[in-house]
Amino acid sequence: MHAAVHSVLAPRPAVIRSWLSGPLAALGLLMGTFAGPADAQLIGEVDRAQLESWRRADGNKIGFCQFDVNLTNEFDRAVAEEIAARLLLDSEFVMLGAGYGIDGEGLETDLFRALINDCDVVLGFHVGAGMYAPEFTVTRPYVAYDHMMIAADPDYQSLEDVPSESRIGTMMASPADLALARYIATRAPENRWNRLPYGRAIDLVSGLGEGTIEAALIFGPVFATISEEDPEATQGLHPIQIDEAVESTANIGGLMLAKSSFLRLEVDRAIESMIADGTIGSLLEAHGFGSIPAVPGGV
Amino acid sequence: MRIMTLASATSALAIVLATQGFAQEAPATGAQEAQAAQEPQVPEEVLRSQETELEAQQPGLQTELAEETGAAEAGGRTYTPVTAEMILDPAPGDWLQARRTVDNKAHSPLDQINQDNVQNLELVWSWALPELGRQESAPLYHDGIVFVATNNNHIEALDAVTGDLIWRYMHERPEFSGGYHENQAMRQKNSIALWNDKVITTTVDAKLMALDALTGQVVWEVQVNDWERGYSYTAGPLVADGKIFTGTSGCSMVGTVGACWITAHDADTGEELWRYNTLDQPGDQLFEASWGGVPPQNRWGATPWATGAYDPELDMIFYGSGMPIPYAHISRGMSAEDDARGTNSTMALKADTGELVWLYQHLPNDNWDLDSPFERLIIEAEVDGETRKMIVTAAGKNGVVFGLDAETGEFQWGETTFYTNSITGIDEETGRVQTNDELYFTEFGQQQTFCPAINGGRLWMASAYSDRTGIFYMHGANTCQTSAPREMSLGAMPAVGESMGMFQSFGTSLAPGAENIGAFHALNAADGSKAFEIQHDRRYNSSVLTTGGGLVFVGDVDRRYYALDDETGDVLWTSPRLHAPAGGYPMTYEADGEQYVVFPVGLTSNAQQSLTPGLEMPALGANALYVFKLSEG
Repeated sequence: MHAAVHSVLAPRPAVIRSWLSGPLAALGLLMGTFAGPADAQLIGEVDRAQLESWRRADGNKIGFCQFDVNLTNEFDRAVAEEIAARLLLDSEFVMLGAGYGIDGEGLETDLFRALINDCDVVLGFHVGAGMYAPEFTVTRPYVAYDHMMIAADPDYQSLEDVPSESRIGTMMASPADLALARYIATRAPENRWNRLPYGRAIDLVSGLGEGTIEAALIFGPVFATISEEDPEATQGLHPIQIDEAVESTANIGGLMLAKSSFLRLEVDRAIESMIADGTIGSLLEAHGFGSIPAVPGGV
Repeated sequence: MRIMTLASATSALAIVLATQGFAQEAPATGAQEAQAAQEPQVPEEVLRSQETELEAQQPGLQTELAEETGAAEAGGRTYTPVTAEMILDPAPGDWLQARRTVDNKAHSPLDQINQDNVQNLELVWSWALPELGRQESAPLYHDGIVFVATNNNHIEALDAVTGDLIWRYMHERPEFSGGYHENQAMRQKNSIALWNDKVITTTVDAKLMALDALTGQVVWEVQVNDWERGYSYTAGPLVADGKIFTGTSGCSMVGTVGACWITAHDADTGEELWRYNTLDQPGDQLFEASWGGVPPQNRWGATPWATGAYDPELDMIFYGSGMPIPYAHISRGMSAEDDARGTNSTMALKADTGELVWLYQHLPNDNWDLDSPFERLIIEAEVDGETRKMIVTAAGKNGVVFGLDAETGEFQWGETTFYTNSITGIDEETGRVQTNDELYFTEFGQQQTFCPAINGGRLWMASAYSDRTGIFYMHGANTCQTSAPREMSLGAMPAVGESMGMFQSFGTSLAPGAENIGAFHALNAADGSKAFEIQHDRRYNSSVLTTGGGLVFVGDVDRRYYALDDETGDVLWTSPRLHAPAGGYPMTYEADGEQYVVFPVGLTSNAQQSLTPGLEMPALGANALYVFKLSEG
């Protein structure tokens, strides 16, 4: 069920030595204590028979989970491999399925189960304060992406060119969706667009082609990936100037168990070093995200 | 017509069956009968291994209809096919569908166990079900067999007197990609019904199937919907009028956008007869007007995730539907004026065509996941000197009980039970429910405290009605929850549905004025007036069962079942402390002249331990059945 791959990247002691104060054995020992159910909100919703209650003999290894539908998986994995290398650890990757409802029902319990049973960090999450149940914590962001405004009509150069009362598509409950909703609310009633949230990026792009919507707010790396993998779908679509009022940036990082505080600190420090020495920027370029709005280390 | 294949089996299997009390009516050969009579001392484990070996040699043991009787026979056991007439008027000792009868009353006329002797109940047998997950099983009974489905659609047939296993069907399903279907698989509800010589089941991978009632072998199966788009089933089929009706689950999944289904099938073949989309009815201007310009291809929800009801006189079926998705209208791109027709509704459909007869919305423009899919009961009551057929239902999580005219959908009465602030009233003339618009979210991140909480209030645990008292019984929890609509949390997922974050919750609390979490409400079905009410320091967690013995059975999360006086609510009997919380659907049947009561127990995620001082929960669920009858002393 899981695709687990062990990293063979060589460690980089020159970097880690400067900020890893304790002996590596201590890190390994602490990681060994991570497995085991927590007593907090989610535990009542998880069948404990499905949790591994023993301590995993992980050895010198850090585990990363990824969702199979995440379009930035290759970049995230490269970041994670580098994090592991800087911690002098082997890395292991576990791929998770991502079939959840629009309302996300069941996801938090599954994340909890995955972080107990399968891995230490789930990659590719929008990170911020207070976004998750108390069982979880987040790493510092390793990148931030922005949203892009896309249109099919060649005459549109900015949002103001889009006639009022026409529909503007968004990804449902995305930061851009929220920003557009707030912006529309500030405008005079006769100058308002209709916001139409979508559940799937490819449907959002199709909506532009079919004329259901006049413009679309879409996450930068998602549009870049669709453009590369399905050029026909994005043919004729072009970015237009995004109004400052609907600019919306998402910081991306990892999700961890709250009790993994020591490991989280070390992961954060590894990410900081990768931001400082330009590694994140290089990885963005290498994975085709050099031309979209992206900020190494987040904002 | 063919005769059972078992007649050609060796005598050893017949012995096994005889020693287990199976073969009294089997048309076994004379040699088999003689051998069975002469060799009852053969150790059971030896016989079981012989049975296994024989089954391996004859994997095609088929149920056959005996020409003379119409009864199915296999394994030395006969089985009387369930007819359309039986479904409408079951034998007193039978329990053929999830709520016994297609009017969903969950009432058994059996009265051997009654108010005078219920104290003498004792355990007869128990049985551990073959899968983990939440306990939401609804056992059935016919012809000496208890049928029970559990999670992952595993189904078992048990001897109703001894608890011996007759057969076990282990469902073969795809490996799911991700949590939704995995979770659905672990909370399968009343997933079966009996028809003819078949067990009809719906599955998590969106199939409708028929199993041989005597062997568990698959007779036919139909892929009703595409599970890879997100469709599934959690609730079971309704069988009536020679048809099988199903309500789909999974309509919050990205790929199911624009369509959520109630379907009808030929009961003998599974062939689809019609389907009704709860999210859209092309040409129906009320649908168009109520979704605020959001086209069908951007709608989710209205999931009919509880088993429906059927009325033979009206030839109509009645289903409930769930909330719109996402929860808050600002997340859906809608306004405070948009009802989202089709969501939180009772839908009355013509059984033959699926044509919508009437639709009543119990919570227009729901913003709080207080969905209303639960069972609709069909009840006849004297109103103003006339017999009136009504739909009586605690339709949604907010616990408001409605009486509607079954033929027209006209509002008759409505009563709140536990505290809710989700509505401000019901217009007596039009029947329109006034949703509390002061609780709407006008900003992302805005917190609102609504009552009850998302996990109830009431939940899937089904209500009941007693023909003896004319009372409707239901329960729920006295809770409130604070939440806010919020932005998504995953980064570059191509589908927002593969994220969490439409709703952020900040905890639950007891409802204003409540001192206890548990609330049991009994209302006179004719007019909704209060019969009695119980406040309980634990959350009730099983469905409700009523009997002709003047009893109401219900269980709680603290591992006990109770027998209540059906007129006063007085506790007449408390079960021994069981190994896990009460759950699922208690049921009663009569076998060999004795009445039995079945109590499902197991894992729950609704204990609300933080609101229940002193409640200790077992770490593991271990779903099981406990079966009681009167002590012989």
